[in-house]
Amino acid sequence: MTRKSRVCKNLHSDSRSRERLTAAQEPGSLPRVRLTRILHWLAAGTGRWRFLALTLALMIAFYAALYHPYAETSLPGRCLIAYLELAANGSALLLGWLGEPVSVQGTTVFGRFPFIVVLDCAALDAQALFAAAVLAFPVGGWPKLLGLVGGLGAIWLINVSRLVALYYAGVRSLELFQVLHEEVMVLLVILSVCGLFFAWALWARGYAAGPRRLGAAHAT
Amino acid sequence: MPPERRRLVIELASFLSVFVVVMLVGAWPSRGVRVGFSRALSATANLALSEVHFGAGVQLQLLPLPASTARQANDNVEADTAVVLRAPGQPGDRRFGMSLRRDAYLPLLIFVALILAAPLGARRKAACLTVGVPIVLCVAIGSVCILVTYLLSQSDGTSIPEWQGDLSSFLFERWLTPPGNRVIAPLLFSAVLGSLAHKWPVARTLPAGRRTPSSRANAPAS
Repeated sequence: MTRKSRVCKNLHSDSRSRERLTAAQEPGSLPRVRLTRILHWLAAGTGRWRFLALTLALMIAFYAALYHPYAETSLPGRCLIAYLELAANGSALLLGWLGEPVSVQGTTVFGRFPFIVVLDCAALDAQALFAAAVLAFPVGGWPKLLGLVGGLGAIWLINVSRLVALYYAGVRSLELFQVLHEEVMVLLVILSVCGLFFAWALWARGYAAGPRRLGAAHAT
Repeated sequence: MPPERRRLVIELASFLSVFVVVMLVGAWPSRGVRVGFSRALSATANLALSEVHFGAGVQLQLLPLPASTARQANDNVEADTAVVLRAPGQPGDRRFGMSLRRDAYLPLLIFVALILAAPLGARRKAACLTVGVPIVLCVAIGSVCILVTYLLSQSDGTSIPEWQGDLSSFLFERWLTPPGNRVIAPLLFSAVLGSLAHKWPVARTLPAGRRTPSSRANAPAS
């Protein structure tokens, strides 16, 4: 190792230990450090490209699996139908809590504005995007697992809320329903997924940095 | 608030505000914009597809619909454009409606809004839009071709090769069916293009007599 590279390495490790020290000593500055790390990582170049490429590859794999025209009697076909029924039941439950006289039969919700939950209405594309981004993000297994469970559950809830909002829009006016269904809600769901991912990424980076911070505190 | 964090908050707020304003202004339901976009894209697509034939010589033409066209009860979308298919030797044509606003205009708008809101310089934004807008429009026209190939492959006597039928079926299920793709695709595309733009060299016009650091470095030692 040349003298110059050794000096650079020392400077680099000094700045890292200074960052750890700042993070450990000043509780108020912790979110700043985390946010800065995320943004630096996103701007770092190679990591960003690896993340984008991996997200895209995983998205294609998930789409290939989820949107295959399965037979209804096949196992994946039955799983997808069960998932659609779960979304229909969830939206009917929420509508019932809001005082709407609704009933469910399979994937159809009957009420003042009856609707059928089909594959396109299940936010599977949003879930594929979230899962791909979480799996491609460079953190350990536990944060990914927690992110997947929490995030996919949250997206399911967002989708159920979307169905409820569309129900009320349909009751009010068919035109409003069409605008919300075809243009507005799709954008809102995907933007929510982006927000969820960034929130999770902030948390996961902090989680990953946690044990090292503790180690540094013990060492000093 | 620490200065670095304040800067980040300002950047985030500026990104969101530009994105929201561009989306609200651009996506506002306006008949004029809808019909104008349909006319412009239909004319471009018809020019590009004039020599393209599907299967046994089926020709595709996009026909902008007038603003007064009402949505029928069995229409899946509020159509602003008719897709017209003509087969050689057969009288008449087959046509169905599609919404270019939903399938092409809004994805384009999302892409433009994301690039305009991105933390890039004006020249880099202009470069991204110059490269990106034609690509988004080409993808939109390509998507219409995929849809037509898929529909023809489901019909008898259209002579669509088997591999084209399989490929169009695969793409129809994964690319055209998921509604989120109309947002996800411009989102990922703008992320890739924005990342690339960070590395693009930007030529700057400097006042006479001033030299850039690189020109200084390349200058022979005197």
